[in-house]
Amino acid sequence: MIPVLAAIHVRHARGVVRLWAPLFLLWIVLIPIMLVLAFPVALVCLVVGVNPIRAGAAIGGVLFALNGTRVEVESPGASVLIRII
Amino acid sequence: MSDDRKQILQMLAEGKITADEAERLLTALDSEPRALASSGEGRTGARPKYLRVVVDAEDHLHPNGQTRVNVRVPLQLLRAGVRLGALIPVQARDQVNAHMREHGVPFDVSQLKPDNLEELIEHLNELTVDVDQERTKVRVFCE
Repeated sequence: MIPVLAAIHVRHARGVVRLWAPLFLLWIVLIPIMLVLAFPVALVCLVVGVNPIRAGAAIGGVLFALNGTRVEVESPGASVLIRII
Repeated sequence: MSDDRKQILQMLAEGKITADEAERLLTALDSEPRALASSGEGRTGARPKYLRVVVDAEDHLHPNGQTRVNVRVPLQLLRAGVRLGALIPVQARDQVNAHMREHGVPFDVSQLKPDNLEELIEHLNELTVDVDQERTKVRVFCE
């Protein structure tokens, strides 16, 4: 499934910031732009010798696979946690 | 309570073993499942879903402080990344290889194929890479 939410937690000396970024809103904005750009990008792919269908599938694969990614860095002074849900 | 544990306590109650011996036996019993899990024998054989990289390092800015990095990457993302990498045009691939060589990483990006990745994942399922240094500990494994 395409990621719908990114949770970002930052803790530092001055406090804690908890941010939940709704990625589905980003997709709603990006999908029409991607549709408009699809044709020129496909042309560029053909010029550089890349199969545009395979390129689209590969990029889609990366987006769909982002779900479940978690990066956590903790140090005595601060910590950052990024989760893609 | 498990049968083994009961048996050890029974032996202690009957005076067949001393308290020290009972403690040692109970400790050994506790560590057995962990040892099996770390050696891979206790795994169920299910396909791993994530690649985990855990780094524990001494913090240079804070004396006696530890920095911990915990990264969990879906293996599906690695597969998708390799598929995307296979689409890099040959000229760009050569440039990437040249730059990596310049930075001391003699790695050929064209050798990164989905089949090789599957093989790597299969092997990572069976083993854990542990790097233990005086101040840093790195652990790479699949879960």
